[in-house]
Amino acid sequence: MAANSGEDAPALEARGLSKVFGGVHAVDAMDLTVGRGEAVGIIGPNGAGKTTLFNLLAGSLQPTGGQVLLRGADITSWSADRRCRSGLARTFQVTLPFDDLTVFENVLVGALVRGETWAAAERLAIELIEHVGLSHAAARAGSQLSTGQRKRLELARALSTSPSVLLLDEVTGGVDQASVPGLIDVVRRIGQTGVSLVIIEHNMTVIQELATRLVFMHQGRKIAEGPAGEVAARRDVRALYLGEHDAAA
Amino acid sequence: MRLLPAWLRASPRLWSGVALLGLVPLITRDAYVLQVLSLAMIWAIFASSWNLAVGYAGLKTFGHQAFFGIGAYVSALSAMHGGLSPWVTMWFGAVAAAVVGALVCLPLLRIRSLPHLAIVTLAFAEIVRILCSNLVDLTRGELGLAGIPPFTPLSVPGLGLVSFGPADRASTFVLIWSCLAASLAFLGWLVRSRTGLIIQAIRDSQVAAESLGVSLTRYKLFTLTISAFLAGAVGAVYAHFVLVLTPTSALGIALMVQMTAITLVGGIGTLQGPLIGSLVLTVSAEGLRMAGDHRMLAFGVLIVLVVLFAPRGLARLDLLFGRPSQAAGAAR
Repeated sequence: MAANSGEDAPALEARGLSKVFGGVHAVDAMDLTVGRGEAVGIIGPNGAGKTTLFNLLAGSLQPTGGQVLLRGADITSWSADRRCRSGLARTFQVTLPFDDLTVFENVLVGALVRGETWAAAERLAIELIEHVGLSHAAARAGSQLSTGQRKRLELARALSTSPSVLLLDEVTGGVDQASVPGLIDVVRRIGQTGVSLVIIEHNMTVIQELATRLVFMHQGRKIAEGPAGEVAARRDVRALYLGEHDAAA
Repeated sequence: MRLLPAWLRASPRLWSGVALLGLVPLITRDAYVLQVLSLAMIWAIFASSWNLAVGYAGLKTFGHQAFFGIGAYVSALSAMHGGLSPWVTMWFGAVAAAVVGALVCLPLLRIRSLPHLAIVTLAFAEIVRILCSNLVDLTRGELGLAGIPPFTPLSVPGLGLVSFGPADRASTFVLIWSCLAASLAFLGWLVRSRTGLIIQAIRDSQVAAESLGVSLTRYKLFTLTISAFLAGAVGAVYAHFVLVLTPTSALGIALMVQMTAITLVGGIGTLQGPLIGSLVLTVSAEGLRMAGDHRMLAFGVLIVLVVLFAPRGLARLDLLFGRPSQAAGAAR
């Protein structure tokens, strides 16, 4: 199939994407389309293949089969750094701050790699740190941050690359409940800037607040896809994901 | 103070220390003292080159003695057989080490496991040492390559002709001190630059750095090449300072162990660490000669004490040396 190109093409597309680890189909013939400015949620039980799907989309893993397209361009064979420079950024489920660098320097790296001058990169870093509410911790080392602060740092760092598509892996995972509304607000504001979002999230309340469309994965396959409310209400989804067997009966 | 570059303003205690070290020939002309301190400065430059790869970029290589030895032998042999001045041949040595460093780096980029990287680089260095030992016609092997010329005399305005032979320990000291100051200035500038910040990000998390668009291949290749160049250059200086080379002294694994100890004791990932570690270990190793047979035992105890009470190195002891600044942006 010929890829759409130009303005008509979706922001991100996966076609028949597969990854096999020693005979186990971690991701199996997955199709996914993310429109420009759209926020798509990926849900599913542990081991469903959500993070593997992210790794395939971001280029951290090479697929066994299928294609990844960014604004219509086939990027399947591109390295992770090239994908990022083309506008595809990500955060990690287990956060990966640069431990010995300050929060400011963590964010500065992305802006500098993008080719900004040092002064422009500094201005962008300060702006983004403020945007995610980390100004008070800007001089603190990455290793000294709480889980919630690390999640915010990952958001600022990913934004420093000026992405058109942002993959968010469990942005509220492991964060205390008091910090969740703040993080939701940050992600929502990112979405309002026109960045397309793909969000992995276990918290159903959070995902329904952030995503307009949900994709439900189970054992590497897409089981359901549709408007967030509809997918979340499906009996098979609730049975597989939430263990509500009565719902499936 | 704003007139000074950021890398100079960022480490005032380091530069004060380097400046004080440069005054030593004004205080004493004792050949033994100058000889020991000259060697300590050579080891400091060599350890700094390793520190750039390991401490700043996280490339856990244990084969840097190969670059040091290649620089030493290439410079010595081209000066002896080519009739060229050591001032020229030392750059041959540095470039040869850099080229080998870049070539070695290419297959290394595929290795992410640290133990594997360590063993492969160590094996590479041993191959170079064994090769050097067996090329007896060229290197004289373990018999030693003797007759290496010292740096040729320089005409310095106001001082006349300055020699750098075995009898000219003060001028040789100043020459090596200049190399140390230039190396630290270059490294200080590099680690606070855009490239320096990016290689420190790679050290902390390769995966995260790559996800921000950093080309790991490009930056690792650059770092190892620069690091090998510096090791090769100081290896060449060493050759024209000691005037005799053996594969064991210039390429032996003991050299790498020594650089590791110097860097860890001084403070890995800090600009001042290798200099502090080198001065402490080289001078104390000489000072402990009075302990006779117990010398190495006492030396071992000293290292254990430093590791116990300053596990991140002497440079990171706030009271002694101030916090080593890592904030590249802060000083700008």
